Amino acid sequence: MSNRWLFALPLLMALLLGGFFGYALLAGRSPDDIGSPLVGKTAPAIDLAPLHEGGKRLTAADWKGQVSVVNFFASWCAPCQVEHPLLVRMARDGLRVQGVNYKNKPEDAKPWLARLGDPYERIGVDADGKAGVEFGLSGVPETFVIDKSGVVRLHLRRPLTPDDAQRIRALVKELAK
Amino acid sequence: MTLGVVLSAAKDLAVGRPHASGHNTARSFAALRMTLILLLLALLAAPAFAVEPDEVLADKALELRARAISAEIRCVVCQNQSIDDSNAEIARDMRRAIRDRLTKGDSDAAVVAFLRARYGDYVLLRPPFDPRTWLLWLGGPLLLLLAARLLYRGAKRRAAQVKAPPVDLSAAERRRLDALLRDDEAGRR
Repeated sequence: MSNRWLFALPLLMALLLGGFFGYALLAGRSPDDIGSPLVGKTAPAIDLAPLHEGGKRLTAADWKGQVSVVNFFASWCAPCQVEHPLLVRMARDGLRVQGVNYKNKPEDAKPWLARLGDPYERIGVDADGKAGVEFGLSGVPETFVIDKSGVVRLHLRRPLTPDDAQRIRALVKELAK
Repeated sequence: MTLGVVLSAAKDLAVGRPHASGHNTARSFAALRMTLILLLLALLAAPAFAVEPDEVLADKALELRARAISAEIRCVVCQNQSIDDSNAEIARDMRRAIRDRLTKGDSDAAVVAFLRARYGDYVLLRPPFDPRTWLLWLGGPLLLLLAARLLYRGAKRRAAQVKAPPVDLSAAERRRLDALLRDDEAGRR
């Protein structure tokens, strides 16, 4: 009895495998998309020294009571420079943008900011990348939106595009209610 | 031990005198000897480790635990390398985070949970066993069982065929066979 459909087995197998391959190719899944498990969780407790003399420390306590956009950047990172104008515009429009200067020498970061504009309400220095690991960083730039209760609501592992900026603005507006 | 063997072999080669008298032969022998020595020295090269000396913990037991954990954590920028093998900056940071947490007294499971909370299941080189991965873990064994069952049934059927008594020819068939054999015999003559 089983002989008859054993005949179709190779075809069935090919269809099954083809289905898997087709799904992997067409479903828009990227093998290096590692996801953002911090979304929905309380932002990691960090406490970073300020970049500017006389500036304020960047601590987890800052995130209570106000929606914050936290951006990891470095002067050696070209994509950071590309997304930077979007952050400058957000800050100009009244969003609270904070920076973490990732593995960057202050003497490199300061002229970079002087040249491109400094949108950051405060900047913490993460010289050795420890805060990066706390935030599950895989590179720079990455951007987080943290709500009034200190919970991460958005994590973008890429340089911001104008669409991303739009999305962040809408989300911040929503969360600020 | 390996080191000693290789070194002594290299020494034997180095002191071995060329037995040929010709100048050219001596020179080519020297070149060959040099090549062999270099090849043998290449055997001495230890595999490069990603873990750098300044990362290593003084406490041997903690360091061993850190190495064991790192070997199971996937580097987030290099797809299929553990952070123990990877030279990527972020892998180095993650190794350091593991050592920091172990030094602070975290258990191995707590350290893995720390990384998993930040980087997701992606960082586990050994995927966890949960409903999303049942097919992944069980698919192979299931397929094997299915194949074994098919093979077993096939073998049983064949055994049954062999065991069944051969059916004798009917009278008509025997007459036909005899006729054919006779024709054959006649044709050959």
